Order: sequence, then C-alpha cells, then structure tokens
Amino acid sequence: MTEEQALLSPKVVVQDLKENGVTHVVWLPDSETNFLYLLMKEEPKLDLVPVGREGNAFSTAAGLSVGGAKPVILIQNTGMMESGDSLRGWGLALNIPVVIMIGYRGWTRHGKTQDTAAIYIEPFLNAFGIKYYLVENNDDAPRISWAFEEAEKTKRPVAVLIGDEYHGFNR
Amino acid sequence: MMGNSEGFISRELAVRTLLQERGEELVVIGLGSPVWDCTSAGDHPLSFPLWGAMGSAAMVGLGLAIAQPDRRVIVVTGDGEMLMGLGSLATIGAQKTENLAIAVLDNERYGETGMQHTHTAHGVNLAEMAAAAGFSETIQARDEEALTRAVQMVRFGKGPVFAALKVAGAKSSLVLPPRDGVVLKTRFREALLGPDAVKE
Repeated sequence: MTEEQALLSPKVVVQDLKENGVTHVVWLPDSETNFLYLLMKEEPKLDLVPVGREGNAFSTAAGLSVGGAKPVILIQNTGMMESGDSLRGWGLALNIPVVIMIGYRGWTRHGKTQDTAAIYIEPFLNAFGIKYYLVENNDDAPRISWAFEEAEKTKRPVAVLIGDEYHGFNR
Repeated sequence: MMGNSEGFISRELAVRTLLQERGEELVVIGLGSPVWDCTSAGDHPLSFPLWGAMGSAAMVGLGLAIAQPDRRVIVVTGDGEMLMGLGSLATIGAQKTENLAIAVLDNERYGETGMQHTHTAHGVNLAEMAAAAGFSETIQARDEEALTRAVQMVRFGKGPVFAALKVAGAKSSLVLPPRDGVVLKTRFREALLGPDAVKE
C-alpha cells in the first residue's frame, strides 16, 4: 500500500464524530493524531476540552456524559496505559458509553515494532475487556461509527486505534 | 463552635454549613470521608457521591459544569483526593469554568488508610495552588467567620472558585450512600435530566 492509499483523512474522521452526535473532544496533544486536532479546533460543532494528563480525560468525559453531553476521548496509546485506574473507575464502573480514539504510536503494517507503546496497547485493552477497532485509512472509517454503536449498546468504553504509518512517531 | 484543635473547624460544622441551604446545585463528592460526611448531612438526588478512581473528583465536576453551564456545580472532596489530582487545578484554571466551585475538607490526613499525614500537614497550601492556577477566588478557612465567607464564595462566587476548609482530624461517621456507582449515576441523571435520560 502506498502512502497516498494509506492516508486517513481527518475530514472523514471529524465527519464521523459529527454524525455520531459528539459534542466534546477531551484530549491531550498526541503526535499520532495532531492532524485530527488541527481540524477539530476549527470545527464549531465540537468543543475541545484539553486535560493535563490522560487519566483526567476519563473523569472529565464521565462528568460530561453524566451531564447529558456526548464526549469522545482523543489520546495516545502511552496515555491510554497511564489511564488504567481511571478507565476502571470512571469508564467501566460507571457504565460510560464513550469512544476512545487512540493514536497507535509504533504501529506498522508489517507488525514488527520495537516501540513498547505499540507492543503493550492491545494486551492492555484486552486485559480490561475493551473492544477495539483498528482504523488505518478512509476505507476503515465506518469502524468509527461501529465503535459508537457498540459503546451505546454495551454502555461501555470502546476504543478506536488510529494506526497511521505516515503521521507522528510512525513516520 | 470551633473544632477540637486550634486553627481547625469542626468537620461536621463545615459540611453542614456548606450544604444546609443548598438548592438546585449539583454536588459531586470525592470518594472516602467526604462521601460519609455529605451523606450524613443529608442525602439528595442531585448529589453524586463517587466511588471511582481517586484524584478525579474535580475533573468529574469540570465535565459536569461544562455539560450544564447554567447549573452551579460544587465539588466536595478531601485533601488526599485533591493532592492526587493537582493537575486538575491547572486544567480548571485554564478552562475558567464560571459555574464550578471546589471545596476541600482539608484535615491533613488520609482518613481511610490510618490517618497518615498528607502533604498539607507539611505546609502545602491548596488554596494558594488553586490561585496560582488561575482560579478567580480562593480561600483557606480556619475559623467560623472564614467558613461563612468560604461557603458564600462556593455557592455564589464567579468560578472557578476554591475553598480549603481546614477541618479537625477526627474520623467521619460511616453514613454510606448506595455503593453501586451506576445506581448513583442513574439517580443523579434522572434528577438532573429527567426520566427519559435513563431509559435503556
């Protein structure tokens, strides 16, 4: 697959978020998904809520959800692992139907990586019983809506791994 | 009535004063002793006691305050819980959430683990940290007069506001709300958003 074929358009992702009724994006800057952030910042229908550490994204999203809003969390895989107890305490213990979009640092199509952020993220999600979808390019974009449907149906957090070889640390 | 130590307020008095005239404020309560304290002072469907991860009560309050900008949100938590989430002060200071107030019951102890000293027993001043983070008003209350001002600020001050209520180190009475977080969330959402919001 060429770089051009592999690209995930941020416009497609943002459109998916809007179609799924997302009101707030709780996020921490992330080398893998900065291209998404730049577009979200310009999108008037999405309010960005920046946090200081990723664990705080889960408690903030819980508060937003309890208050009637529909947040999505945008963080990196390193931050996902930092958030273990917050995922447990706020996402799982309160049945918060939130989608977590995770920049998959270290991900490669050939599967070989020395980046421990990539090595451990899927075992981490499996340990918590978090269902996840891999999104590499525009053809995979419908999986984002699947994640929202899954979250609403199960009342649990569901992850979308943004496996983009051509942005951030993966370049 | 002062507490049993000089420079500290009775814990029971502080919580009762904070909540006795509450109206439709949304009250988020950090896990541990503040949950027992606030439940003892009178359970309420618009109270949201937390059983989740420690160090996050202020951020739950922030999310709620953003989702409900026309409602007053008051976070009541302990000094140990607040110390575990100090970064949240910076986030709230940056957000400048006008309808959010944080009240910390600061007994300088970890109440649930054996009353060990927290950092506030060694000079860490949470109110000054909140001020440095950009909260619009802060106070550290050590007597009844300051408590009255603190409660006025928490209930009516333009947020984000922060009050550290220095309370006597006695353990709280164990008056427990339901221990199921989903039950408490559903009760709170129904009271806030109406019955349609909790239909499956």
